[in-house]
Amino acid sequence: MKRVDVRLNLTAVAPVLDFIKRVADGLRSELVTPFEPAPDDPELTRIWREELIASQARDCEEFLGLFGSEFFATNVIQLSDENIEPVLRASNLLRMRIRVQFLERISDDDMESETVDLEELEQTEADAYVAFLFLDQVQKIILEHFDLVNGSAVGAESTTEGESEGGGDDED
Amino acid sequence: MATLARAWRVVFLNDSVNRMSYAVMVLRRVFGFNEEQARHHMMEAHEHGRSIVWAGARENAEAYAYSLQSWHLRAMLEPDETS
Repeated sequence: MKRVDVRLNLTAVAPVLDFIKRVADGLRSELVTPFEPAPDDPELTRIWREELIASQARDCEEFLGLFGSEFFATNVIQLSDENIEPVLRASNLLRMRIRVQFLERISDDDMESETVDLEELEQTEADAYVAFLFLDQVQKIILEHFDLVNGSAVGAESTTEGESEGGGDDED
Repeated sequence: MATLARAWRVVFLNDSVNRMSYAVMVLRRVFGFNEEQARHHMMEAHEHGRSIVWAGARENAEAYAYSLQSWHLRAMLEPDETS
């Protein structure tokens, strides 16, 4: 089993986590992705919707579980084959929600080029933007270090990205 | 019976948030595309707003659309008028 340890700066990450947790709390009864099923099957639509909302909640729980008491003791999160899928999905849905809920007035071009000036944002927008970038880095680390298509590990180099301060892989 | 036999399309829809590498990974995983095929559909959706990624029996189309939704990629079903 592949494992990537990512060391984070607790002082920088703690407020970001508070923000992300509040966003996750708002996703317990609402789908983040617009849902456009076939129009003539309301029962299937209802079942899908319920299952997808439950799946969202499980993914967010797994993501937030990375930042439990062990993280606050070690400042390290552990990504492995066992948790990367829900963590990746959670990072994605949280980014989508943050983009729509807090960063709508920023253009797609500015978001993509990461040229947003934090000082020009209101405080909530700045918090949201930092959380958005943090989640993006989590996704980037997973996509670079794990092969989710074939289910096997990729590479073995250490990670030093985003909010992280360093880390390493541990292949079993 | 004609309705039952009609083919359905799974349409992958563009969004401005997902990483391209994420969308490619999900398309490869859900549909078994190779890298080139997945990139083609991703770019088509990026440039035109949508890409038809599969067509066939409705039950299978629903399962594929559900899989895309579960990875938080936007998808819809539509009848394949050519079938």
